[in-house]
Amino acid sequence: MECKRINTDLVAGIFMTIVALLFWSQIGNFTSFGLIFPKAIIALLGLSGLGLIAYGLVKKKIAECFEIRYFMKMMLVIVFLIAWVRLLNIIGFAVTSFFLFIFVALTIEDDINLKTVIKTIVISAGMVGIFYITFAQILLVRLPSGIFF
Amino acid sequence: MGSVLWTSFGLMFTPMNLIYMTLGVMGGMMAGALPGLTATMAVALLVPFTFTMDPISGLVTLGAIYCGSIFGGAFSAILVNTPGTPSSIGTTFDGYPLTKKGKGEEAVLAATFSSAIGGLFGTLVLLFLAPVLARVALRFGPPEYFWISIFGLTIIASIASKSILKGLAGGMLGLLISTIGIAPIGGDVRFTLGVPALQGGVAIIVALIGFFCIPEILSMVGKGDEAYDIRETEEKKKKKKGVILRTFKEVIRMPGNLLRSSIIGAFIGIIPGAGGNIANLVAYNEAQRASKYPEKFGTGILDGVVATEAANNATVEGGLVPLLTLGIPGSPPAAIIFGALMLQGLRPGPELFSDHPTIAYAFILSFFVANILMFVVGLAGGKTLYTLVTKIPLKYLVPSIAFLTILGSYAIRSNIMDVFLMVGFGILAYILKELEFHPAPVVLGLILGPIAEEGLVQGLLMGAALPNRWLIFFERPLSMILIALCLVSLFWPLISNLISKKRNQSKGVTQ
Repeated sequence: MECKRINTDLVAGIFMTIVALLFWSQIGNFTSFGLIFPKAIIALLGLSGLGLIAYGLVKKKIAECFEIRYFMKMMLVIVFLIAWVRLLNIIGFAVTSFFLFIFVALTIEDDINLKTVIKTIVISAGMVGIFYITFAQILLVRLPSGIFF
Repeated sequence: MGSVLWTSFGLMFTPMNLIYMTLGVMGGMMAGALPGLTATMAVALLVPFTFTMDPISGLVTLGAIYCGSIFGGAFSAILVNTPGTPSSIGTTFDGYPLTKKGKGEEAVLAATFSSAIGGLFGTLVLLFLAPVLARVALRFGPPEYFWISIFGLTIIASIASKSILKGLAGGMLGLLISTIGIAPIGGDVRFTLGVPALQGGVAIIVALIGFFCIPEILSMVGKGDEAYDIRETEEKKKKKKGVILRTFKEVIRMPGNLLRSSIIGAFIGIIPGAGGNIANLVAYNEAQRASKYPEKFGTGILDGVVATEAANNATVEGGLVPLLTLGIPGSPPAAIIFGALMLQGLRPGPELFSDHPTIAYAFILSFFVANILMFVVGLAGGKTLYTLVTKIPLKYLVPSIAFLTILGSYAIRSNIMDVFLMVGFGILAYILKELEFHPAPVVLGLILGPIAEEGLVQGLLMGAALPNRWLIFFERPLSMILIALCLVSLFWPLISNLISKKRNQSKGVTQ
């Protein structure tokens, strides 16, 4: 099993401190009404981050994280998810979803052959078709549209 | 009143209304089960269908949709770790681990039983205690809302019991994310990085989908079938015999949990602005606190599912208390029902009961029927849905869930930025999960952030006349009660330790 051995408290503390600093750097000319709450929260987040760093340095507890057996598959799914969202209002909701559904399904499929490909195409068409008709045609929910629909 | 109730019941309990209510419950359940279609959207989308109906039929249909949609959120929470509505966040804590253990059907059945019981309790409150409770709820001002949100945040201590520091950091992160967009008071544009689409802030449901659903998708892909071992085996099938009766017995063996959670749900529902999203978490927290085995919460026990589902369904009727008695909609779906009542020529408030008592009571009584129908439809629907999900191979389940997350996060505001945010939150949540963060504190912070900020700033404005404006948060009687509750909640681990030590000492003395 592939695992990363990480001091999770330390890493989490560094992450939270960076987030607090990022938000702090974005504080502009806010009115006192708009500033009081986020300022307090940023301070508390920063303190919790520093607390986690201190705790991580003292306890030095190492945990096994990111146990990923199928790393490439997971990365591919993330890429497909991002592409799915990016193409929604370029190609259109239905067409993008139809193809990306197939790509994600085939990424997870262990045994790709003509039969599984055809089956996946049919399932994808059915799934996207049913939801497109229900949302866009019956419930009149606006869905992203692009070159196609 | 007796004769009015009887007449109202006769007008409501007609074959046609029963059909409308059944369809309403089914439609609501489907909408609730789909992440992104909230109870508000379900009621709003189906309001036009009730325009042509007579007032009683229209209202009972809307009530049934509302009940069904809050209950429906439990299905996706239990089966795929994605709360269908914010009212089911807490249901994921034990519901999904139960599914992973192969006990998803029991979880769905327990959710069905407890939802119906919570809903029936809420209806009793609506019928008999509405005017009194509505007046109490109106005493809640900004300082009380501030303390309610602080009380909500103390829940982090029990949710993130493994690491309080990580829970606190997660909660603060959620609160900080909630400040993105236009400030509720002052109108400052904050932390949008110049992106106009972020001015509207982060929609809770978008964060919910991202934080709960995407990490699960990635786990399923990253770990394969092992991450989602709910396939039906012959051994499991044998164990399923008599599951309905067995689960029902288990649920009714928790009368304290059911009653407490229903009371919490009904009361939080009455407070305008609060609702199922807070009630389910408070009920979970209290159930854990009162339990003899608190350490088992979160590992997959029915108690957690029972608490959250009884509470969120009791908020449905609770939320209608201020609407029907005072004409103040206490929740977004109640606001839509307010509009539907006006369209039918009825003015919510005290006049509704004096001018149209049969319609008002028929609407209230319809919740008894809707909850019973929800129970029947839920038993059949839950079983079917569970069987369906367990039979879908992982290779189709993953893209199906991904498809629904994209559809759901877009449908909320028809904003492509929401979908980007959802994916971004999902990747962040996966990393945080691996770093041993629980997603619930982040989402809890996101839900409570706007309530806390509005309460804080408005409270400070209210306190401007006092020698020290912060005094406003400490001098009102309701605020003091809430502060006491916050302190008890915060120091509960210490208090319970002391109590158990004393118990052990007294046992030692008697022995």
